[in-house]
Amino acid sequence: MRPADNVRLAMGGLISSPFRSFLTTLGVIIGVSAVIITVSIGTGAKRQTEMQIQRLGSNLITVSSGYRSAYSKINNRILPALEQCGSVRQVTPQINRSGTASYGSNSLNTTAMGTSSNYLDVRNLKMARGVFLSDEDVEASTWNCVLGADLATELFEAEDPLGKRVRFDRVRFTVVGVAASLGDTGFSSVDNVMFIPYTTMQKRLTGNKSISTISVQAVSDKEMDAAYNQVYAALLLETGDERAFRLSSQADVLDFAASITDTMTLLLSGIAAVSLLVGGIGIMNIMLVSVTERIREIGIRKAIGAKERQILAQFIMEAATLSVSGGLLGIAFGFLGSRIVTRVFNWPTAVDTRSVVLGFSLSLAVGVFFGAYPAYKAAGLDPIEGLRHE
Amino acid sequence: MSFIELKDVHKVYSTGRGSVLINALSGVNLTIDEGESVSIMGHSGSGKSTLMNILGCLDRPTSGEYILEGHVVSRLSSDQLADIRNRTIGFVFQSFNLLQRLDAVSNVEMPLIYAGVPARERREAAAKALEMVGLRDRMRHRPSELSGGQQQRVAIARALVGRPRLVLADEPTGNLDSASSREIMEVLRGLNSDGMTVIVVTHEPEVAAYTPRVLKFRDGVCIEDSMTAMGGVIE
Repeated sequence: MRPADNVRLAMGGLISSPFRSFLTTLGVIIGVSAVIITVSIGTGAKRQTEMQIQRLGSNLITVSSGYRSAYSKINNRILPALEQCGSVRQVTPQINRSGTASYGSNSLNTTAMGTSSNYLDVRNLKMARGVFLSDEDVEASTWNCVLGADLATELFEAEDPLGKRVRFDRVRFTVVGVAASLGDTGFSSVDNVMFIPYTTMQKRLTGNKSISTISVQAVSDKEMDAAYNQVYAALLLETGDERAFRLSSQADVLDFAASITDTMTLLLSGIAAVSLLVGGIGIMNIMLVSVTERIREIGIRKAIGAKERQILAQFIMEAATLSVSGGLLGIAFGFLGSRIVTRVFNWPTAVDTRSVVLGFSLSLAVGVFFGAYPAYKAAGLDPIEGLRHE
Repeated sequence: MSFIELKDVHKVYSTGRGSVLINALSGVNLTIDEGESVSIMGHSGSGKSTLMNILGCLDRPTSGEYILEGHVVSRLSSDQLADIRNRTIGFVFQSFNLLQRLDAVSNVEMPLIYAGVPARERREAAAKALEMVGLRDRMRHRPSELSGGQQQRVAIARALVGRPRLVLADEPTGNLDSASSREIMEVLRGLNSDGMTVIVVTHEPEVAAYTPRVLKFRDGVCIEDSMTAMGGVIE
């Protein structure tokens, strides 16, 4: 018997009751599309995380105060100590303070960030117009500021912000530059921030030498561990208390985020797989009914010379055709569904070849596995009994 | 060497829960040569259907030997039996046993699918077989669109499409009116004159009269083996 005839035979059996075949595959359709959608959401989230790592730099270590109180041992003294570590390329301090920025009649709640000139390089920030804060700005504690992209458009609307004077609470700053938009980076967007020299921040706004966070950039990804250890040692030496500071690397944070996504994806895929299992049982059920209904057909086929394995192949092929066509439909619906998820919930999704291959092979496996028993029953049928069956 | 040879064939069925044994055949000895046309007669329970199943390689004797074309059937595997049914034997049943969802030509080509014949050759052979039984113009009709006699002719076309050496007909006219019965018997006689060995199981003397040799069965044994001189013609 030829393979093509096997397929034709199986199709013939299914097409004779199309609606029933469709209902039977529904479980597989739902299962496969659910797998595709959940995996695509997981993959999308992971890709976004990877993009954030790339954008923010994977060789970043963040130092912050370990105390909950305002009193902090992380201050200007720490900066040169960290810069001297062998595996550290550069460091930049950040001091945040929320307040109201206003220009003309526009005013907005925003955050002022006191930082240094190398913030631009450490955090991969690009300038849209003008220049970023310079070393001179920091040294002389000038009144220059740089606006985040969204803040600039909201304060100035169509006007050119460069050279204009902006108020932050009671203090006036001169705009020297506007940063390029980073877009939506989730938890670390600086599009709404007003950058000022950290020295100005300390002298005029906070009144002390504390620093909320220090970003430390390692020489390379490979030296991250070395840099981490050196920074830890330096901080311990400077503060004399390991509870006085906290260290975290950008990669740690994002790895954690990725591991949460992975766990969620696995969990949801598990639920999807259960519906695939239910779909498989549905197929087995219908195939058993089909074998009972077609006892006479099986008898006729055996009488005219069908071997046991040919009957076995016909019924397994029918079950596999059922579930694979369900799988293909499920892949199509999953593709569509992940688009809808992106459109409606604004979640990034990505259907990759892996999940399509996974969906296809899962449905094939379900068909063969759950079709095997009914097919085995059909193949073992006594032809005389089959022919006698009404 | 005979085409078909039965040596002391017994068939015992157990019914109930294995407690009651039924002797369907109790020592049948028989030889049929190639090209013969034979009727097997008997009332229900005479063992003629059991004999038919054994001759058709659908069943194996409990004891004794069935030799077909020199092969001892009881020693063959179920795959080998399937091959014999496919290549050597053509079946015609009382209830036609066509697949309702397939048209005539698809029903007829079925044995060739299992013989591994390519699709186009299969279609040609099936069309030719239907032409031989006079149903060329009904190729695309489904069984439900055909009369009983026509359905039985489709079944005969299916039996002869693989050019078997033996055609086994089990009550082929049992569900037909007398005009259709005559048609069917004429077709079977035609196959016999083409050289095929034809064995017909029947309980109707009129049908048996079409074959020169008649075997009568009762209680699982052959009680009469007679040749009609005229070769069976009935008006």
